[in-house]
Amino acid sequence: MSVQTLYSLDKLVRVGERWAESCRTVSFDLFDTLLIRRIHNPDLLKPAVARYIAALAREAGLDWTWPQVQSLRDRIEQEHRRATSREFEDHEACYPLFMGETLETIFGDQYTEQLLDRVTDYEIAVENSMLLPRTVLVDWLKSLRAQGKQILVVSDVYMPADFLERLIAHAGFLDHVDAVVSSADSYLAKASGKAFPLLRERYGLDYASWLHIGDNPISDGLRPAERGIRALVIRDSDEKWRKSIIKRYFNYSAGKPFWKGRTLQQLMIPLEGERRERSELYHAGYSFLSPLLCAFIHGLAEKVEQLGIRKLYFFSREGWMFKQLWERVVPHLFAGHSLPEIEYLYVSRMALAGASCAVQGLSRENADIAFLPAGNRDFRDVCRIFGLDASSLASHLERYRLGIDTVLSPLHAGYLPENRLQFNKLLRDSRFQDAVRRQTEATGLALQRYLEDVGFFRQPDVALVDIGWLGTIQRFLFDAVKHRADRPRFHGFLFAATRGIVYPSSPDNYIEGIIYDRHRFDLAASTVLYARDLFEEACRAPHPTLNGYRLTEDGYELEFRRQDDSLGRAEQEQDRMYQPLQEGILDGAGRYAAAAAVLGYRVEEMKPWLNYLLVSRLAFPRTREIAIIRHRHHLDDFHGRHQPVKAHVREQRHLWDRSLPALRFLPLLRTRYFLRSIRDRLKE
Amino acid sequence: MQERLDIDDHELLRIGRLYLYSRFIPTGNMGTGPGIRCLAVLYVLHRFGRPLFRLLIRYEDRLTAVYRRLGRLRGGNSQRQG
Repeated sequence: MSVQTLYSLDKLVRVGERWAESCRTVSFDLFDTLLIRRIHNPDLLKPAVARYIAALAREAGLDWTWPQVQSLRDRIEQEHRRATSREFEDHEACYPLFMGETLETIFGDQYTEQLLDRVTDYEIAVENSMLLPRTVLVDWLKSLRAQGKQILVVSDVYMPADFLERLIAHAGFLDHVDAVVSSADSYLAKASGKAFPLLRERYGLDYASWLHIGDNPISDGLRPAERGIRALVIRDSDEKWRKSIIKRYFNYSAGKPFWKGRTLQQLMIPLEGERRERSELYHAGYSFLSPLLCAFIHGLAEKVEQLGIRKLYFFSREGWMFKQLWERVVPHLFAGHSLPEIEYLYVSRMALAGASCAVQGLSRENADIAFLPAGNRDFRDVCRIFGLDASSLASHLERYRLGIDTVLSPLHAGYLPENRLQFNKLLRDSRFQDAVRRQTEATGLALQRYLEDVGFFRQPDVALVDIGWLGTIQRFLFDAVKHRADRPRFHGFLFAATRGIVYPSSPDNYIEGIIYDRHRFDLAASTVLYARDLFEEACRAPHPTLNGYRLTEDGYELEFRRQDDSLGRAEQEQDRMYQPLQEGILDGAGRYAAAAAVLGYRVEEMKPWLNYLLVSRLAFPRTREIAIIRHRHHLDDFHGRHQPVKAHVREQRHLWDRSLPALRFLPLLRTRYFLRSIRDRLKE
Repeated sequence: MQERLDIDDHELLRIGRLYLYSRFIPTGNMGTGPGIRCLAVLYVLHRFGRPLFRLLIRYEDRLTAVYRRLGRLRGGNSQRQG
């Protein structure tokens, strides 16, 4: 008998190289040898498949919950194992047989072979999402093959060999394997030792020149050795350590919801060949922003499904990132569901502001929005934002004893309240409003044509997705189309709804914050307010902002901001700086989707962990974190260039605006800002 | 970070610090919190787990048997994970 147990992969390969010299055939166990699973227990993948089957059943009008599906699957599988145990020593089962019976039980007359194929494909996809090749062993396998050895992969599992081939192909080494053998095909397993004579007969093998490698001391050690096959058993302490960690997180999550989100992130950690030297920005994107943004998309998908909305529009430019995250995350989380259509909509506050005046004129609420940014001071700023010609409206201002440069914002020197009151009276002047409508008519019409072109008016309900913060884009968009009988109901979903100004909510037009909403008092999530620009820059598309909609003879044209001026060049520099951050976010999305699909957690269940991430990274960040992730440039054409009075500038300074020396050396700086934040939230 | 299989350097210490902080100042909804025992176990596992497992792997079968016996004494089921 020749069995040796090794406790490290490197030692296994060293000893294996020596032993393999005199062997013609080398066989490997598959799971926990050539392939490892991110999750500690393979049975935890089954609920994801049960949820998929339950979703398919629901689509077919059948009422099955996923626990019922899982319970049925387990019962049928056990029955099959009992049946095979009457004839064979190994109590094996074969996936197509027991899953086929499970699906026939659930779907009855609606069962088809294609249904079994769909479920099989999904189960394999879930397995693949959690499996990865053990680099050291796979490399060794490839080198053995290159030396001319016959390479077999042998596994005791309920999946037949053709399924295992798909897993191995996904892992990238099927071309280096001569044959894949599964106990599900013959019901002869390594556990009883019966698999080895089968292989000898099938492939003409010689026990004396055969080396077998695996992780199970009986199936991969004792049993082959009993036949005279040399056996190496790997007991990898690092792998056991890794699994013990994920097992702890998973078990703790059951009693302490705080750990649920952390468990998901543990499954996201790069392993084996995925580990690479990455920049700190990439890491920040992968470990901090990705889970948050993916949770936003996850929550969005839950809401949209609940409401039965069939079309989503992602507002430019942050919607660029959201749309990509949706494409990577939602099909995995909602497999088996009929997903809504998604589209990227070219909009901006500047482009829509003018269009919002085309029918209703310049409303008091919209004019107030123009003065929210501290840099906006007078009627010129209003005209800049709403695309109006200030000089042609000057005569209307004069009737109310106002000038184009009269200070209308209380944040600036020279402000008089009576001027603002006069301005409000001007907004009620029908001649003024007629002039405004005339000036914005063309842009309003161009917008209508664009929206018609993208099918905006074909759905009764649309979900509008934006980063936040006041819902201004949605407000302007609604103002621009509310006169139409065919306009859809607007369901606005924001990453964070700060509601600095009241949103005119109605059943036909509302906004809701997913990660943060001021209407739900959430102190931890409100830390998003610490670094709004960070989120905007992290999600922003690498194309210029939309300046307006231009009416043409046969349609419309989208007008984008030029990029050859200093602001445009600064934005491009910011794009280049944040490229690794965005790469990290998108890479993390794939792993988030796989982990979330397996764990089955809803966003609400992960909220405690997400709140921890927000507070720890935004309210109590390390100085180095701010230094790495803080953006350099942020373009906001909505904001004017006027300087408000100093007292207001001081009030506007946030933790993330402070210098690095201040962050590093000023005592209790973060605590003071956090206490101020608590005070501000309580005052709201 | 990857050496200790954690999402960031000293993440558990960071969690512990914020948890301690939350005893004095409200930090928002973090569910039931991390729990001191859970934090302690996870800290030991992340920080010292690799060398500990390397040391104890050779005695895994005996330790598993002892662990099972302890579990039976406590009245719980100890599950083998494959």
